[in-house]
Amino acid sequence: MKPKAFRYHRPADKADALRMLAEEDEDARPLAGGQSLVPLMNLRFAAPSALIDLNACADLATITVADGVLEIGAMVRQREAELSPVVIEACPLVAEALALNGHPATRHRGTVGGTIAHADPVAELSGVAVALDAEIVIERQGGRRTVPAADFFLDALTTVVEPGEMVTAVRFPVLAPGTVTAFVETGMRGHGLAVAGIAAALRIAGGRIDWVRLAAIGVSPVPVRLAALEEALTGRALGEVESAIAGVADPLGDADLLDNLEGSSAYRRELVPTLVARAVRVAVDKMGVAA
Amino acid sequence: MTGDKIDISVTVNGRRYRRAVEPRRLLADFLRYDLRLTGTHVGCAHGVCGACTVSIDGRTARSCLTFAVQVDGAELETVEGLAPDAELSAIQAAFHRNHALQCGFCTPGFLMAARQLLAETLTPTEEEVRTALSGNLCRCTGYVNIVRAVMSAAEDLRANREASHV
Repeated sequence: MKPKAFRYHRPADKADALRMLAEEDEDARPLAGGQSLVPLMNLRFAAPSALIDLNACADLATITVADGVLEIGAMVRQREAELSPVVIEACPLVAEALALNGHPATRHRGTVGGTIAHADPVAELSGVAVALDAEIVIERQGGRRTVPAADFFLDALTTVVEPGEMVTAVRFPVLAPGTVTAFVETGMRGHGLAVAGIAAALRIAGGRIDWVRLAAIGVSPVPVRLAALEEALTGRALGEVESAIAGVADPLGDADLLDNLEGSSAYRRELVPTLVARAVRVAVDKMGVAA
Repeated sequence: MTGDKIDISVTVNGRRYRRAVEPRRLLADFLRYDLRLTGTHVGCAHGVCGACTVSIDGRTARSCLTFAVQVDGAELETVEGLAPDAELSAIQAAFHRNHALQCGFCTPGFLMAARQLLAETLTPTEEEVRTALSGNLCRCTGYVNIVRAVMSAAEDLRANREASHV
C-alpha cells in the first residue's frame, strides 16, 4: 500500500513548524505520531499535500505542572504520559485513560496532541478532557488561542482547528487531594477498540459524593459531559449511587447518538448508566488505597 | 518536489544502511524492498494487525504507520535481529516448544511485542501478557499457546538472567 506523494518537512522546533504550516497550502497536515493519519493515508482516505513532521520538535514534548494546571505538550507520547510520575500525581485520570488507548506499540508513537486533534469518537483522552474541563492550546504563526474542551470537538474527526493552526498542548486541571478517578469502557474485545467508555472523577466527604465529573466517549460523535448524572449523584451517599443513576430518565439529553456495527444507539443508551455505576464503584474502591 | 528522494541513514540490527527514499515510502516497505529484510511482515498496512511490529530506538512501533524518512538516525531492530547467530532466542525457542505458531505470518510481530514486554518485566501475569500482545492479531492459534510461550520464555529468562538474546 502506498500513500499519495506529499512534500515532507521536518522542523526542528515549534516556531519552525508554525512557519512551515503558514507557508504551506491548506491541505498540508502536521504529522504527530501518525497512528491515525498514516492509516488514512495508506487507504487514501486522506491525501495531504505536505506533511510537517513534528517528531523533532523537542519543545512540543514537555510535561509541566504550574498554578494548578498539568500542561502536556502535543508531542508527548501517549506511553510516556501514561507512565509519567508527574502525570499520575497531578491527574491520574489522564494516565488511566491512555492505558486503554490503542496498544503498547501504537502508544509508543501516538501522542497526546494527536489523539485530541484527531477527535475520534472513541478516543479516551477526549473524554477526560471534556469531563475535567481541560483546555486545548491551538497555535498558528503569530497567534495562540486556548479553547475549552467542551467547545473544541465539533463532530467526529472534526474540531475547531483551522488550516494553518495546530494543537500545541493540552491543559488538564491538577486534581485536588482526595479525588479518586476511573476510566471504564466496554468493547467487542477485551483490549480492542471501545464501543463506549466513561471518564469519572469524584470526591467523597462525610460518606457522600461531594464533587463529581463524568463524560462519555463512544456514544455520540463527540464526547458528552453527563451533567444530569453529575447533579443527581452530588450529595448522595455511596449506597444510593445506583438508585440515583437509575433516577435520571435521560442522561444523554439531546446528544446525537452513534448507531453502527459496533452497537445500536439503544445499546449505547443502556450502556451509559451501567458504565457510570461501574466507574463510580471503581473510583470509590481506590479510596482505601489513596487514604 | 513531492517525488524527490531524501537521503537517510539508519541502523538496523546493528548494521548501518544509507539509502535515498521517497517521503511516502513506508518503513515496512523500506525494510522489505530496499533492505531486503523480509522477516517483517505486512498484514493489513493500516495499523490493525501488528504483523509489521519493529523496534525503533528501543520501543515497538508499527512499521506500516511510520515513514522511512522519519527513522533517519534511528536504531531499529527487526525480527532478523533476534537470532543473529542462527540460534533461537529464548522467546523464539519458547514459541517453537509451545506450538505458538501455525502459519507463522503474524509471528514476527508477536515476537517483537513479546520482547518489548519481557524487556520491561520478567514477571508478567498472564493478563499482562494478553494486554501487551493485544495489538497483534493471529488467525490460527487462538492465542492460548502464544500466551503460554511468553510465560514460558519469561520463566526461562528469569532462570537465566544473563541470557544474551532477549
